[in-house]
Amino acid sequence: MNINWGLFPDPPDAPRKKDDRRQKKLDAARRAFDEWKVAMEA
Amino acid sequence: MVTVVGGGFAGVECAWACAQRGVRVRLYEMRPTTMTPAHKTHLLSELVCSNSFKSQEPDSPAGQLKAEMKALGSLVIPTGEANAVPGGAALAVDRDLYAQAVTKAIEGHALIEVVREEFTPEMAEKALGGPLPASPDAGPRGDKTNAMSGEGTNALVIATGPLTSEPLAQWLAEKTGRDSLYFYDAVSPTIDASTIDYDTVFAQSRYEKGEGDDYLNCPFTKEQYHAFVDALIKAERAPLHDFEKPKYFAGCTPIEEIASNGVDSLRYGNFKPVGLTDPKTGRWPYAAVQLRPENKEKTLYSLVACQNRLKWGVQKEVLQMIPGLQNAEFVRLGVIHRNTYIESPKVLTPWLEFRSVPGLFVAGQLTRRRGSTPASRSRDAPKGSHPSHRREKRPTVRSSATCKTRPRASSRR
Repeated sequence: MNINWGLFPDPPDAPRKKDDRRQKKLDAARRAFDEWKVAMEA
Repeated sequence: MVTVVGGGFAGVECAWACAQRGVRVRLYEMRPTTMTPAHKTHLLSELVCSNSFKSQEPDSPAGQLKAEMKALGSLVIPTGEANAVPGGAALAVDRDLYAQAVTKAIEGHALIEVVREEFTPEMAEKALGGPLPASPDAGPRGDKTNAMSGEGTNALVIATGPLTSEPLAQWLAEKTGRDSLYFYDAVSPTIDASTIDYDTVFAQSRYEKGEGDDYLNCPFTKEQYHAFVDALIKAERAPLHDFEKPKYFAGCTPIEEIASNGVDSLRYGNFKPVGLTDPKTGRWPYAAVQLRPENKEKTLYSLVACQNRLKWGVQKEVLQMIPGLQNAEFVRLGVIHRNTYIESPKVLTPWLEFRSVPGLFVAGQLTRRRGSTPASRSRDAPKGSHPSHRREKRPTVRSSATCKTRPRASSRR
């Protein structure tokens, strides 16, 4: 399976619209990556 | 020093990441001395299946993965972008130019030594400082300082991919205490562009993404589609070994297997016509096969999602039933090959180090990550656990959210 949004758990208070749910997951991924990168570089 | 075995996507990314952080790397690649059933060249990071790295749209998971890789200093993604061919929303590359560029970068790096030699189990055990436990049941090796003492190696990374040589695959299976697991992967055919009937096909990307005309489309009428499916199902297939069950990766199931599930399976899947408007009719066709350029000159096209394991003689005849390909000359026919992978969640730590063998890492598709991009992303192990950090004894930080992809075979169970 290639990477897809279905691999990730729904965020808390997941929006009803699929596009909105995906956007929330994307925002979470970007936030997590930035935090991880900062931690890695510290 | 870090020893990396395998010059595919994950191997070159791992070698590059370590070297860019100032760590010496010895990279083993057995080609061209020993070839695999799927590779054609000696080049590092050779693409054997699709020439697509999937979507590069920033709001897609694959696009986010690419953004993360670039932020971490990836070699393969920028090289792919520099050698891209039209691919709609996907990052598709000229596979020869891309692999040549990666090879040049790796071979030209002052801290990377490329060794063209098959890496054997004996070499692995020597690199790890002596004979290893036969299985994880024997428990972890207690003294990490003794591990990797041989030849001055700090970490050994196995990135030999699904086409791992049989002795090394067997050795890995013994170390994991489980039988080697496998599934079949299939490769799509490639044709000479000058033999395409351009009066029949039309240029258009699905929903006109990318440049809008990145793909050529072969439109089926209802009658043509049903005749094709009928011939496909009846065509003779290449045999498998008696002891092997045909387990396929879901994304690369041969089209004859898909067609066998139902006459409409292909036109709602691999051959779906949505978003493709035939200029002759102004409508979406009944079904469509897409052709994607294989090189920048567009002298070769691959048949998108037409992987199959038909015998070669009959394969040509069946594929020439696709509208526009009646005179097609094939420069490569579809084949299948056996892939090997390990049960990562059971035998690896979250940072891809063997639980039973400290210092021994696995990267890439052997871990069951599917696709070139996720596989090469797997080398981005967390801080403190990345092979290049081994000498620094830094604390471990878990990987980012997008990196934590589920093992690729889980959907097939």
